[in-house]
Amino acid sequence: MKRIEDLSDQLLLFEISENNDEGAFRMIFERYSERLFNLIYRMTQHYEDSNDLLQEVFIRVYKNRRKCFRMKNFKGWVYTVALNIARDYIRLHKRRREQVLDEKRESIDGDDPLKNSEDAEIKRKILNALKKLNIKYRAVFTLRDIQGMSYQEISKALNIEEGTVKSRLNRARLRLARELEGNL
Amino acid sequence: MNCKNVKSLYTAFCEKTLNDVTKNEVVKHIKECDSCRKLYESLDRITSFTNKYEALKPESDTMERILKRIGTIPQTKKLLGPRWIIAYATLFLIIAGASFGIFHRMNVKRQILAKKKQEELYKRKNRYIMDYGQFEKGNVIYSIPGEGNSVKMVEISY
Repeated sequence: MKRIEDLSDQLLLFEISENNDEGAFRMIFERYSERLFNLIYRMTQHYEDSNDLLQEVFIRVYKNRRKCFRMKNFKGWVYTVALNIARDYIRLHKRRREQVLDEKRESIDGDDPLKNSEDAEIKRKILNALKKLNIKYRAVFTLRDIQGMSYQEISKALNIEEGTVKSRLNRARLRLARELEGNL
Repeated sequence: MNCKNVKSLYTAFCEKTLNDVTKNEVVKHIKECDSCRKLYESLDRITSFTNKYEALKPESDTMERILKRIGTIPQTKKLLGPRWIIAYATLFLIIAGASFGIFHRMNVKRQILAKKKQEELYKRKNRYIMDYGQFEKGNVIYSIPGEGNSVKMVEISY
């Protein structure tokens, strides 16, 4: 007998849709929450709000559960939902004063405090420059360079061609380099 | 190779997906062009830092909060089945209704036309001879099916 962890998304979504199965919903949450959370957090750079936005993503999954299990690319859909939610949040908060980066969440590795503070400073600068990028470039950069996803996975997640992923990534890196010119 | 090309090839250069000729051209350009060299160094530095970001976890009670919120969503019962069935059924009814309407209208028109033709034929009956099978020539314009010899009305050309 198959363990619940081995079940495909489609089967889990079927269980959620037809039997309102909480276990299957938890499993879907376990599978996607961390990656989606990191994506949302890197896009919005606000920890508390990212938690709320993540909730919103899974509420949408639940509301669309009947539609979800018929989807060929649920992963792509859920990433698109997360990106749209993050995009709406960014637009809504654009006019607010520049948010201070959630630095307390960025942990520091290693034992050398001097090097650590220098690294943390560069990481902070990169994240601040990332905020100035267009959302589509920010998403690709986050998924590839920060989350380490493959081109194929990103292409599937964002519903775009692999070539587009590569060109967006290159542009994102170049724009970041331009933003950070003389600051690294 | 110009600076624009070299910039656009950064990702492919890093991932070593360029062919030898292009790679050598990029290397040659970087050696000669200060601005591109600085850009490549800066890009290298950025990419060396981006994989140092730690993956964060959402708050531990996020799932419980989601479940709590789901509990407040009214559960709608499916009375009419999936939407696509309703959509197809509606489409079928519209097409069937329209076809029936058109067919009915055409039928009525045809009946009126036939009646008019019949009336006209009766008016001009003197010009026609009832054919009991003797005449073969002529243009059959009206026929009544029956047992044995069929009754035909034939216009005779004199």
